[in-house]
Order: sequence, then structure tokens, then C-alpha cells
Amino acid sequence: MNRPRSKRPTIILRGVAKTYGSGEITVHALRELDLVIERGDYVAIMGQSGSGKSTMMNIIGCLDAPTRGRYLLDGIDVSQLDDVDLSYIRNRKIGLIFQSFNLIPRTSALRNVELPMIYARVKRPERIERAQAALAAVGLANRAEHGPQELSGGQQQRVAIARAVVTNPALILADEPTGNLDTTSSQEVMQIFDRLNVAGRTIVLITHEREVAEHAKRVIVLRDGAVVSDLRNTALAALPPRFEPGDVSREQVVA
Amino acid sequence: MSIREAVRMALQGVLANRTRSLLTMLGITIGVASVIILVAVGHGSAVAVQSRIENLGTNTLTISPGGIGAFGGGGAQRGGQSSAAAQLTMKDVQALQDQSAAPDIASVTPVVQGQSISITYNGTSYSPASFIGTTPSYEQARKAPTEAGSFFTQQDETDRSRVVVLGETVVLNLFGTTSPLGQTVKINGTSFLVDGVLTAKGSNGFQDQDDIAIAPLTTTQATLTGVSGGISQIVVEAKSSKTVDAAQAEVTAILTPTHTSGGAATFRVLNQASLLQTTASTTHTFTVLLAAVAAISLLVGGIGVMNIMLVTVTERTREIGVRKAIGARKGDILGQFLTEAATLSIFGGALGVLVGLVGSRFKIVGVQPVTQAYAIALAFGVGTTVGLFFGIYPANRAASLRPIDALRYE
Repeated sequence: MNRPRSKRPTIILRGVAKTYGSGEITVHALRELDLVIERGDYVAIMGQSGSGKSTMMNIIGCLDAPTRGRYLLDGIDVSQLDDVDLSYIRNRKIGLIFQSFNLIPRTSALRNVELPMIYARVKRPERIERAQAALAAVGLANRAEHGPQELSGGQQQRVAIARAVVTNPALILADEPTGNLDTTSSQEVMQIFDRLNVAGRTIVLITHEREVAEHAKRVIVLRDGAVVSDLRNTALAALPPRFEPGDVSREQVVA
Repeated sequence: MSIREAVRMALQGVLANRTRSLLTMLGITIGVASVIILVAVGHGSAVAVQSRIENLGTNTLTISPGGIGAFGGGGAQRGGQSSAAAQLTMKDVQALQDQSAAPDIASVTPVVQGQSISITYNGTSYSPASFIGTTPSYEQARKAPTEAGSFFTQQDETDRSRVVVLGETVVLNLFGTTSPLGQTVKINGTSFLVDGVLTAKGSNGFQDQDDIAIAPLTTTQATLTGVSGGISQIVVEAKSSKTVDAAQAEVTAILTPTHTSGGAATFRVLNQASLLQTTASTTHTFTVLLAAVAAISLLVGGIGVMNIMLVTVTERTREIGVRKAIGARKGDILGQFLTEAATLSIFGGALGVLVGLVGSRFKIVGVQPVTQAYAIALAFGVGTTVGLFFGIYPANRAASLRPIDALRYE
């Protein structure tokens, strides 16, 4: 584990609102949202389509800016940052995982995992070593040279996770990571998230599935852009509820 | 992102869609190749024209009767039409041969042109485009060596020998393949002995230089033209190419006192060297014109690169979004797509240089192209710059995409 676990909140949303359009046809995706997510937490965000979960995820992931309100990431007001600083934050502090995997086509798994480090100006030998370790941690050491088109959905998502964690971000954001996967692959992916949380990373994931949400320590339900339910299942410092100390050791995850 | 990584990504992008990349490169290739080939053709024709003019001798001055403005053929004024002052005579020739007054003149060759001359051999009749009566120094001054037999001599001149030297075209028309040497032809009814055949010169672009017959001046005046018509032309050869201008000044100084009418000179001096300069500047303009036309195709090639890069950016919008989401800066994306445009143009340009060099080896509309190093460098340089320039807009468009918009793009 690289960083000591601290009680300092990772994410603070203060009156964050997001509206699309204007006048009569204004859509309120998020209404004055207040939310604090602490370091080391494991949060599932649930809600129906249009409840604002993806909008919230995009704001937390620094992909989109809120219309009103403040968003502090590790104490930094993100709205004050320019393009270069935002790129730095997306690169070092946040690991993004998407429902549709979003691997770069016609590019090997290893190269996909190398990509964030290319943008972080990591030297090639170190980059390859770290990328290989990250792939090994998700059980894909032997698929490093395969392109996305040669991998199953579950494998692609595991490559995407390796890519998200390879720069050692403290915060992992996943937008319906199991949405396109079968049951077995979903379980594999969730086990990886569990281990990442045990290794100290803050995890926020969006899901429709109760099964997936059961892995989290805290479940937040959104409706019409506002929080309607916020339940803590497990203490922040405890292990994830479904965590099975299985065949993979913690060191492998930390890579 | 290092240059090395940018190049790797660009190559990957180029190779991902080979057919399209190849077609894009083709635009630049054609542009670069056409600049190289057309400039080579321009230079080739310049070289050809200059060598023809040099055939006439660059050290020579041609003096013909007539005022400054009357730019006509050498034989434009003859017979009794001209006034005495306008005519060139053997006295002028003698005056020019005076070494004390004209130290820079090597030789003076009077030329008389015969009109309506018909040569007959064995029942075949032929009229050469020009019939010339002159002195033996003509061979040297006009660079008219013989291929077979010999030019007539000073002795022939003194004796008024009835000898003639024929050009290739005349020989072909009268004798076919048999040798004309030692044969007797009738020129306007008078018998002449064929002494030699001139080395073929080909066309000078205006007329066939081999369609000619040359006889001694004295003989020509005695039998064909008479002495009253004066001399059509005096060819003056300077001692070296450096003294041509001095020789011209001497010619003017010697002839002006006797050849002035109403304050204006009644003779013209044509300087072969200045003609060469004029032609050189004309062919240069011609070359520039060709290059300009070719440059337009380079521009079109560049627009082709822009077109394809725009398509590529649109197609890969989602990929750009992903790259930004994992930390690519604006500059990284800009660099990636600019490098891709540069890769296309550099390969296209290199291919164009190759095609241009190969294409320049062939004769094009009768001209042997002469490739120019500067044209190759310029075409390649401009070609790649154009490709890069037109890559800026699409690359900038890609780099300016907001990550959220790019990720949502379907």
C-alpha cells in the first residue's frame, strides 16, 4: 500500500447542479447535490436511467463541469483548473472504467495499459514493466499482445481496469462496469474491485444490479438528480462485505 | 508524449487504414512528381534551345542593312531598292578587316543570299530554303563544318570556282542515298561541282538549318546574283567571347560614318550572346510557369490530406475522448494527429521524388528533361509543409474536443 489510509475526504460536492438546455426545455440532470465521499470508501450509486448518476460520474471524473456548485477533489477546486491541470488530474488521480470498455481499437492490451503512462511521460522500460505487472494483477499476463477484438468482454474490461489503475490513482470511477458482461465475468470484475478497495483505493461505481451494489460499503440512490437514499452497509475501515481473500494476494493488486 | 511515441501512434493510425492512407499520399505524390518533372522539362528545353543558338556561334555579330526598327530576315533588303547608304558593300568588309581600327575582330565574313535558286541534278530539281554566297571563314564563324568532302578554299574564292557545299536536306532531295561528292549539279543553269556536305544541325526551332547550299561569294555574284545588290549580311567573329561587346563597338564606330541616313544608322548589329541571354530569360519564365501549374497540384494534394484527416478525426472521436479521459493533454492529441498528417505527406513526398526522378528519365514531347536538385528539394519541402499545414485544422479540431462530448459521440 502506497498511501496511509486517512479520514480526509476524497470527494466533496457542494450544491452541485447540472442543467442542459435553457428556458422551457431546461433539463435538471443534477439538483443542488451535496455529497462527501471519504478516502478508502467503496460506494455504489444506483438509480434509474435519467436519475443523474452518469452526469454525477462525469463531473467527479473531471470530464464535465457542473453548471453551479463546487467540486473539491483532494481539497482542490476542480472548476479553477485549466486544461493541462485537468489532464494531470485525470491521468494521476482518477482511474476511469466504462460500460463499453473503451479500449483503443487495433492496439494490443499491453499498449492500451501503457497509454496513461505515455501521457504521464514515463520512460519506456519502466512503462512496459508496470503495464505487464498491471495486466498480471488482473490475470491477463498471457494476453498482453492481443488486441481488443481478440479478447472477450470480461477480458477487455479487465484490461480497462489495468489501464485505470496503472498510474496508481487513489480514486477509481466505474460507470456500469458489469453492464455488458455475463455473470461469471461480472463476478471476476467485482472481485478485482474488492481487492482494489482492500488495497486502499476509493471506489465509486454506478450500477443497476443489486448483486453488484452488495459489494459496496455504502449505497447511494439517486432519483431526478437528487439523493433519495444513502445507506452504509459496512464501516469505512472494514473489508468489503463480499470480499473473499482468494487466490490472488494483495501485493499483486497494488502492483 | 515523446516524439518517438507520437511517431509510433501516427504510424499505427496510418497503417490502420492502408488504402485510404495510400490514396491520400497519392495526392502529394502526384504534386511533388509533377513539380520535379515539369521543372526538368522546362530546363531540358532551355538547354536544347541554348545549344541550338550556340550552334550559330556565340562569339559572332551579324550585321545586316536596315534601320534599327526594321527587324527582318537577313535578306529583307537587297537589289536596287535600298539607297547607297543602306547597302553593305565589300568596302565595309575591307574596313572591318582593318586590324588597327578593329583589334577585337577575328574574322569578317560577307554573305550574299541568292533568290529563287533552283538546283538540278539528273533531272531532279530542288530549291533550297537558303542559298548563300560567302567566303571560307563562314565555316568557322557560323560553325558549319563539313561531314564529307571539304569546304571551298580561298583559292576557289579567288578563282571564282564553280563549287558548292550542300546541306543534308538538299543532298537527300537531290541524291537520295548516293554520295554527291564530285558530282556536278546545275544551279540556275550553271554547272557546279559538289565539294562537300555540311554536318547536320537539325532544326533551330524556326527552320531546317540543313536546307542550305553554300558557294564562294565571287562565284555567286558573278553567276547568280550580280554585284549590284550589295551584301546581305556580314558575319563578324570576335576574338573571344569576352571581346564580343568591344567588337560590336568597333563595328558601330567603323560603319556609322558611311551608313547614316537622316541621323539614323542604316545597319543593324545582332549580338548572338545577347540573343542567348534573351532566350535564357524567356525559357526561365517558361519553366516558372510550368512549376506554378505543378504547384497547384501540390496544393490540391494538401487539401486531400486535410480532407482525410477530417474524416479520420470524426471517425476516431470516441478514441480521442478515451485518450483525454485517461490523461491526454490538448498538445498530445494535437501532436498525434499532426504527426499523422506529417507522416502521410513525408511518405507521399518521398514517393513523389521517386516518381519524379524515374519520370524525368523519359523524353517528354521531344524534350529530354534535365532534373534540378533545387526543384527536388523545393517540391519535397513544399509538399510536406503543405500536408502539415493542412493537417493543422483537423488536428486542432480533434485536440479541442471536450472529453465528455468526444466520449458520448457515436
